[in-house]
Amino acid sequence: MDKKVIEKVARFCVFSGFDHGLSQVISQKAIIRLRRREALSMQNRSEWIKEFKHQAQVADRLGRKKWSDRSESSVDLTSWKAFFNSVDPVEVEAVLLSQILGFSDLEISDALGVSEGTVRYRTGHGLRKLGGFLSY
Amino acid sequence: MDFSPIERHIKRFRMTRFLCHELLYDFHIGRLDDLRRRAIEEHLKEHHDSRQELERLKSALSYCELLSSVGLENDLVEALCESRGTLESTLWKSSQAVREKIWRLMPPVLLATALTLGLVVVKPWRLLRDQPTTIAQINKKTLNPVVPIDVPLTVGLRQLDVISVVNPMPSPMIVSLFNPIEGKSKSQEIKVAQDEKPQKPVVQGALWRANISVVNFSATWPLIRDKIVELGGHVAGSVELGWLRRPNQSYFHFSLPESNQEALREFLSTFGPVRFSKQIHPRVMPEGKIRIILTVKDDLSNEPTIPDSETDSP
Repeated sequence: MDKKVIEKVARFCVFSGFDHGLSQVISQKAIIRLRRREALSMQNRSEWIKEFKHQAQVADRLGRKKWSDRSESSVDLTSWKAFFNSVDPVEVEAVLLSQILGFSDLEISDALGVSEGTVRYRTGHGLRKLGGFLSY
Repeated sequence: MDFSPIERHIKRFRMTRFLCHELLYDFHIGRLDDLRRRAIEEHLKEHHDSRQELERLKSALSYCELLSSVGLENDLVEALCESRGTLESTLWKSSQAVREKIWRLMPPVLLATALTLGLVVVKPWRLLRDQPTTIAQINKKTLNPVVPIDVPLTVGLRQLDVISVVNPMPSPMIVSLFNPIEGKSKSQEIKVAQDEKPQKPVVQGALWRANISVVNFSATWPLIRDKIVELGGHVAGSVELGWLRRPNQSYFHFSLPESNQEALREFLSTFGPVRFSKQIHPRVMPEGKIRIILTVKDDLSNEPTIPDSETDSP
């Protein structure tokens, strides 16, 4: 159970642009806070999203380090970085949570406090823009 | 032709390029109803750019699928897996250390706070300032007429001016000191205990007046003058002894030793009845001396004597 959360939060940190050290700190804090709230179960996946978002905001306030030289060489992250840096953050967030981390529209809508239609709208828009970066 | 309601709705529903692009994601994941799905399919057949947009969407989805399967840094995941308890224990240890420090610092902090509050509430320096302080005790017997106390008086933390205590003073003598800095009365009282009540000195001048009528005026008044000089009398007024105020009246204003007053009285009584009277006068004579104004007049003359008050001290 914890491993799934760890993988999710680690992936979230990686694709949110945090470097290795910051990712580790954020992940640890998120897991500890989720454990305290007893929200590590699969029924509380929307709580995971809230915690990821909270930690990302904290890291932003601290001045997060973006896109350090990582060694994920299996996939070219150039398009993702361009997409991340130029597109509306809510659309990036929707694509990340929905298509990469695999949260359902309902979970995302619960966590973000928006309707499922809005989540799908943001995801569709984000994907179309990401496809534009991939075609070049 | 007869159309069903759905067919009529389809004919009214006109799929635009914008609407098609907005619904592509829902179309791709199968979240559209049949009407919209069929409309988009029709639209895609006719519009190449919409098909390209759908291709972009599909490639983005494939890319996201690829990203989701990316193997994360093993060291990161392993570190996170292994250090689940480490951070908690670290936080616990740090909080324990902070707690220990707090408990260690608590007594001195409380003591300092209590002392500060006590000082603020009680203000002991005020009590010291309001307490009467006996600075000097003066014995009246040994006190000179003027006794300067050239001692700087320290009351509280302030240096006060020098004060002088002048004798005589009412008993007990209380001298109020005023704070020269604040300008308001910080009544520091000095009680001077005195053993006796002060003796008020009799400071009162006196003047003796005498009148005598003689038979042989022209021969008698020089005798009287000589006797006065003999008895130690000195002229006191602005005229000489025996000044002839009128042809038949002489005037003597002189000082005489008090011890010789009786001898003078006896001498004058040989010429006739003499009358001495004492009057209060502002001029104070030295101790042992008296001042006399003597009027000698001719007994044969019937002229009235000029009142002495009108001829005082010419």
